[in-house]
Formats: sequence, structure tokens, C-alpha cells
Amino acid sequence: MNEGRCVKCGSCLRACPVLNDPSGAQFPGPRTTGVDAPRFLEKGSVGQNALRCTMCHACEWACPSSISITRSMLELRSELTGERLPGHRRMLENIAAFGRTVSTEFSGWRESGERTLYFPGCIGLGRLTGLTESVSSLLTSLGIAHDISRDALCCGSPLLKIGARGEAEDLRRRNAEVFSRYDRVITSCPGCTYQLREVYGIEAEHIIEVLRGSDLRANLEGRWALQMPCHLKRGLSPWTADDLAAILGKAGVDVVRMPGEDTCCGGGGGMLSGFPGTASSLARNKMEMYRKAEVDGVITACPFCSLNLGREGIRVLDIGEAIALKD
Amino acid sequence: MSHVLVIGNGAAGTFSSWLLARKGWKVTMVGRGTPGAALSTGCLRSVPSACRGEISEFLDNEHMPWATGEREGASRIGTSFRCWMSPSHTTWTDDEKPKSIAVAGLEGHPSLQIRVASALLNERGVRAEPFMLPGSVPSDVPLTSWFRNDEAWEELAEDLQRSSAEAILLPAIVHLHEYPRLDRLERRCGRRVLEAVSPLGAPGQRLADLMLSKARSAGTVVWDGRKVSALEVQADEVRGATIIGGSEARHVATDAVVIATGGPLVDGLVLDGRKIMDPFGRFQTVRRGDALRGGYHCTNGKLISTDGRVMTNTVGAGDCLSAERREYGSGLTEALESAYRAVRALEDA
Repeated sequence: MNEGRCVKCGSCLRACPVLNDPSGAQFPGPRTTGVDAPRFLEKGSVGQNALRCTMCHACEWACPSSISITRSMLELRSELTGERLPGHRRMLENIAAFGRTVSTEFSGWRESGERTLYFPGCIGLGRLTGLTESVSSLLTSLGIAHDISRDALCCGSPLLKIGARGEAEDLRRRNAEVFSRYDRVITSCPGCTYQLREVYGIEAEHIIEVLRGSDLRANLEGRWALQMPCHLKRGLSPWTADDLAAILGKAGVDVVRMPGEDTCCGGGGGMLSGFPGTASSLARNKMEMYRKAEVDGVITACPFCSLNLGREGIRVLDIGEAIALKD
Repeated sequence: MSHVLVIGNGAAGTFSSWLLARKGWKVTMVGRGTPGAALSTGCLRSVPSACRGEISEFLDNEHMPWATGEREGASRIGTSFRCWMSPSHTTWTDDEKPKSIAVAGLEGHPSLQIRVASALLNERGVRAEPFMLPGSVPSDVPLTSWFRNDEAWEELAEDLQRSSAEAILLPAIVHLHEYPRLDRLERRCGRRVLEAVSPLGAPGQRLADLMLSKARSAGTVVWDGRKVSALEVQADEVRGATIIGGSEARHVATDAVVIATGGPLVDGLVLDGRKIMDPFGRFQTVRRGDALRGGYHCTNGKLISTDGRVMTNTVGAGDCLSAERREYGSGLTEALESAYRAVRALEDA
């Protein structure tokens, strides 16, 4: 790869939300895990502390030399030996038992053989079923007849983040048959979208991309800030991230933009299950920022952001919950 | 209204964008990665000749006042740093030179090496003593994480009461919007608060944040985290560009282009016939005393493609130009002046 281009400027360290958090000092940092680990064996032996990172891509996006830091981090994670973190072990047990990282609470399956599949992902089916129902109704009102299939399992993205490559590949094989039944796949999770595009080669669309150009309204009072999901802005496309703000503005939401809106909330990369304390601490940093800006709530477009920020006592909505089609 | 694509989000890119947006151009600025300006000391070493007024207005900021003139400061290892323009807490004039300084920092943290810096300041005739703050932060962890809230700053103010020195030298840790903390700290502990001059840290980032916000508030559309992968050349004009962001690529049409991609850092752009080659992984090797050299050639501000055609609607600004030679460690003033010349060349076209 291209780690040799490191100029030791420290931009990755400055950009890292974990290193900049008081709870994050045990994380060896992106330079050790993403730049030095592939080159110097002794730097790679950092054990489970390599997992104290949300895979938010802020380091890679800050790097002046375009080093593929996150790819090296995933590589390091896949080579980790020793006992897994309890939260990550639970994820793998769930995958082995029923194919998703968390238990499924959703019951509104739609399996009538439509050509479009709405793929809510594990969190949408297990934790935030209201979000899934909102997106499904929104799709229906847009005239997009769709299935929500119980056969579609975890996309595998969270498994790659905890270094379980074999299990992720197994899920890809099992899911391939399900996806082959559909012409179009729509998701509401940037992590799933990225995985389907990059690993499955399916041109999955995030709900924001579906909503582009539609005549939408929102009945939201007050001022709303954004939680820009990492895997949306720095993974899928920064233009799609721009569209999140544009769509809400056009629908009549008073959107308050701020410099830290795209800082990681702490919910990604297996942090929420692996190191819940750090995930909370990062979420509290963001909440502090939103409270200072005196906004009434936060709108995001990622189930992990909704879940992690939602625990910190501020109103958090997904774009799928925030808007509806104009009458 | 004509559309101009500015490639690069550093000093030359943001200043070009700011100037052009104020002249009524519709500006889109594309840039990726931390720019060289953010790795700098955040001070202007040399005096601008052509556009001092514009530079002062561009860098003016409500949170962080600037000081100009013949000024001196101390680096994070205590060596002397002279410049023309710096944030007010970073440097002093000969008359204001402090007689005694407490060099405050965390043991072992590279943001300010308190023992080395004290020793060198003493050699420079300033009575200096290391002042160790309680706590420990690993060297890879930014010190900003330690001083993130009001309580930490209050504790710092209380700790500093123990010193009898006339001034306190602190690691440069405050972000742009937090700069007034230094004034508050000064009032709170009743002595002068100075910050060490350091590259690769908060001062450069502060400057980059400031310039970006100025470009944006002048009306520039900022496409951050995106890079230009190819330019479309028709005869002697660049008419469009392919831009990559995340896993998406877009094509945009444009009436004019400012190339401000920098040179000293790897991953700059090189024009090759009809397209830009990128990335190149091309290192500038700099020997002691060498000047830094950029990549592109230009004539009267206009860029020349590698096959010798003069691009009539494309100009180069900053370190990407082979014509721009400067000493290692200088450069911000030169990058800004170069951007000013580039914008004038574009306006004359």
C-alpha cells in the first residue's frame, strides 16, 4: 500500500475523535494502527486496543498524502488474535444463531415479490423499528413498491470492523441469492450501503439518494442541527451528505450548520458494542456542542448515529422520520 | 456570472476563492487532505509587497487579533522565531520582550519541551524556568484533549499562580474559536500569556480554519474531501473537470480554473497533455539550504501544459508553480501574493 508516503505531520492524530476524547488515551492512534502497523511488526502488536476506533475515516480524510489508513486498520483488525471483547463475542453469537448482529424485533415484513428491496439493516430491524416503518411508508408514498425480506441477513459490514472476515464472507454468500431476486436495493444505513456497493458490487441507494428531487415537507418546529454520518460523508459520497442538508432545507426545516457536525458520534466501527464507555463519551461531546448551539434537536441519516446519540437526552431523528411527501 | 473552479484548499486556494467570490465569480473550491498552511506555524514570516491590505482583510478575525511589525517569539524548543505577522499572543516586539518566563507544559509531551526550551531561552538572555503542569498525556495524543473544558482551564490558571515569572509560555493548543481563552487566562493569573511557536499543531490549523471560513462566507461553495482526477482540455482552455468524492465521481463544466494544489507535499497534481495525473507520490527532495520547487510552469500567470500550450483560462497559484521559489520554512506570504497575482491574471484574460 502507500504508508511510505507518511510525512509525520500528525494531521491524522489531530483529526481523531477518539484521541481527542479524555476516554481515548488507550487508543494507540491512527498513525500506529493505520500507518506504522503494516510496516513495523512491533507497532502492530497493540492487541485489542486497536479496536478503540470508530472507523470514522476522519484520519484518512485529513491525511495530506492520501494514505489508505482505514484499509490498513481493517487489515490489522482481521489479524488480531486473542480473546474477543465481550460485546463483539455477543455479535458473533447472534450472527451464528440468526444471521444478524442484534436480535430482530421488526415484524412488518413485506414479501410479495416486488422488484425493489428495502434493506433496513440489523439496527433498523432490531433496535429502531420505528425508523424502518417510517422509511417504508415514505417509500410507499413515493410510489416505490418494495419488499422487506426476512431472508436478507446482516450485510457483514460490522463484522469486517471487528475483524471477522470469514463470517462476513459467509453472510455475503448467503445474501447474494436474496439480492438476486431484486432489481433495486434501497437502504437507510450508510454502512450497509457502502458494504453492498464495495463488497457485493450492488448499486444500492441510500434513502437520501432516493429522495433527491422529490417534493417533500417537514413539520418540525424549532432549529435543527445535523449529525453527518461518517460513512455517508467520508464513505459513500460527500455530495450525498450535502444533499441531506439541502433536502431538509427545501422541506422547510430550519437547519443550523456548524463546523463539528461531521465529527463522529462514537457509534461506529464496533465501538458501541466493544467499548460502550468511549462510545458514550464521544456522544456526550457532540451533545455538548449541540446544546451550546441551542438547537431543538438533531437530524441524521444513520441508525448507528440515531442509536448512540439518542441515549444522551436530546431529540434525534432520522431523515426518514423527519420528512414526508408533500400533499 | 462566470464559474471558476479552484483546486486546492490551502492558503493559495482559499485566498484566490475569497478574492474571486468578492469580484462576483461563482466559485467552487475543491480540496482534500490537510493543506500545507495547516502544518505551518500560522504566522507570516515575510512582509507582503503587493496586497498587504487584502491580506489583512482576509485574515482579520473577531476571535483572534493579529500583531504585525518586527516581532519575535519562541519555538516549542525555545529557539528564536522572527516574523512580520502573528497572532497577538505568539510574538513580542523588542520593547515588550519579557524578562522572565515560566515555560509551562506536560512532562514528555512534544507540544512544548519545557527543559530544552527553558535552557535555550536562558541562553537568549531571558530568565526562564521549566514549569511542569500536573498530568500525563501520551505523545501521540493532542494536548487539546487535555484542555478541552472550562474546568481544565480554571485548574491551569490556579496552577500558574505558583509561578513568579513575568510571563507564561504555553504550548500552542487553542483552536480558533477558543482563542479568547488566552486573554481570559491572562486576566485570571495576572501575567502575560504567550504561546510557543510550533508547526504541525494548533496554530496552523487555526489559520487554515480561518481562511476556509473566510472563503466560505464570501460565497465560495466548498467541496471538501474531494479531489480533481482529470481536467478536460479543449484547444487552449480547460473546460471541465472530473471530481472524485467517496465512491462517487462527478463531471463539472467550468469557465476558468485556478490550480492551487501545492508542491512540497506529496499527492500534488501534474498536468500531462490533456489530463491531470494523480496521484503521483512525487516527493520533493530538499537538501539543506535548497529552495522548494513546485511542478507547473506558467507565463504571465497562465499555466503551460506539458506539451507547451498556454492555457488561457487557467492560472496557477502558490507552491504548485515551478516559478515560485522560496526558502524552506517561509511561504505563507508568498503563497498569498501568488494567489493575488493569479486572480489578476485571470481577470485580465
